[in-house]
Amino acid sequence: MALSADPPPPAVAPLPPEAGLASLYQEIILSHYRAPKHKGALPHASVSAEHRNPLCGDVMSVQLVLDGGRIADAAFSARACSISQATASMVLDRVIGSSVADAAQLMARVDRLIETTTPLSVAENHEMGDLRALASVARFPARRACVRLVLSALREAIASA
Amino acid sequence: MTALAPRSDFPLLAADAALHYLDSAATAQKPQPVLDAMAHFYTHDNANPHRGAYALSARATERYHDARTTVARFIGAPDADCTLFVRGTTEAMNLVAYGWGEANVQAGDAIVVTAMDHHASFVTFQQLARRTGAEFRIAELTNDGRIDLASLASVIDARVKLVAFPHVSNALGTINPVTEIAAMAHAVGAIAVCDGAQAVPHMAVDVDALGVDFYAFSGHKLGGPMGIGVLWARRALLEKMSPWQFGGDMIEVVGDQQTTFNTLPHRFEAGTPNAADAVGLAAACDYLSALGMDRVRAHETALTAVLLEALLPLEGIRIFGPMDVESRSGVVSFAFDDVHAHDLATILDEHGVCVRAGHHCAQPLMRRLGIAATARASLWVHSTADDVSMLVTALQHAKTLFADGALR
Repeated sequence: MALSADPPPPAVAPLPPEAGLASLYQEIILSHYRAPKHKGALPHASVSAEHRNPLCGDVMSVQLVLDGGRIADAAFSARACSISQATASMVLDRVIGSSVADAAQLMARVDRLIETTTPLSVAENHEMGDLRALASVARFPARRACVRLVLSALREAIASA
Repeated sequence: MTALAPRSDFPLLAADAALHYLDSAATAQKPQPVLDAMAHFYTHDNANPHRGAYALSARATERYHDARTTVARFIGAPDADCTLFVRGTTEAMNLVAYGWGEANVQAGDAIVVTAMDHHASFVTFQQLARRTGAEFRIAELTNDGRIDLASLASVIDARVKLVAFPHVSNALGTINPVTEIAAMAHAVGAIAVCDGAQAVPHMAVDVDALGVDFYAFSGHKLGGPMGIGVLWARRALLEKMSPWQFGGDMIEVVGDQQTTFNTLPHRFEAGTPNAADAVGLAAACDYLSALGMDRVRAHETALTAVLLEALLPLEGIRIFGPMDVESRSGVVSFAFDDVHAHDLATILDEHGVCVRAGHHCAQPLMRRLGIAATARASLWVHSTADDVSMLVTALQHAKTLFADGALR
């Protein structure tokens, strides 16, 4: 059989545009963007890291107070889009008070959330809280870097301790 | 306003009636004659130019040669042998830096660029300055996004060996006074290097009359294929320059210990030439010549006025670059206080509107504007008022979404 006779692989049925945008820019993300938590300076920070997305020029800076293996406090400053800033707001809110190991596990789950290769289990998904809103980023591959900008800065800050 | 060139000329656009492609400044869509010319080359004329004694190779050589003649004529180059094929503007600038700069710039000298230079020239000449120990100077801009000629004059003195600047800014759309700047460079014995990537696709360009020494542009921005571009240079400069890449095609005689080099243009085109892309680029030049570059410019100027008028009433918008359409191209960068450029681009994309969001390979400029990114809409021969109105509709949607989270 000629190759050209094969039907193309079935495409994922596209959602109507408004549904796509509505999922990306849902109220949880927009509210974290409009009123971000933990945005500002952390004068007593013990470690910090600043990451840039060289493709777009956005800047994300994360500052932490590390106390043994625990993240005692955290803050970010950024010149970045809504997805990056909302991610920073939500992720920092979750990792403050947690161990470095738990923070690493959370970030690994955020990574999986915005891809489609290894979906989170129902239980894992449930534990994500507000961060579940980022699942829609999986449908906007160009915006995954906006989430990863936060994760890479946070990881480097932790690693620099 | 209707298009200057029918949408049906562009297969990608013809296949998607809902697409509003407003990113021609990043890369242009390809007209059918370009695709046909390249397919014809590979189907009928493909052999390695300059190599075989057989008729097919001779034909490939001839097609490549003819392409150069066409492109040279398109930019007003009096001397086709000084119209070098390169990969694009970036490689052209590197050829200037390595081929001319290394031999002519040394510690104690100075190099001048402008705050609106694309990274292709900004970084290339910044690094040339670092390698040679020359001082790297930046001419600043006026508040409305033009090169500040007083600032430029203040950084040009007898130590300056090279002045680089864009013909048209890729991020602001500003059309610069090329002849005047070239004269300022020449007055101190410096060479003038002009980045024409955003000019050649949009207006009639006569490199000789512009008075510059080097003029570069990319083929893919004028409807040609990616991977081919042009560096035009004055013959007197090229004849004194050493090759910067070595290998096949650029040699005359290769001895065991030394080599003599081929004549112009071949000595600057090492390796198998990119003949098919050159043929495609020539077809793009022919396509634009048939439309008429003066008509292209008139179309874009009129539509830019429509675009600016449509954007200005949007609340909180900041439009960069000169507001008078005679001083700018169809590149319009803008930003909102409350909606980041990436968010704009994503929302616009969902409406079928393609714009660029980012720093536009002009981070020094973005720093001066005090922002990380702008959204940029850019026009070409197929653009219409309908594209503009869809852009505005999508922008209004973005504004609403971010203002109160109200989703339609």
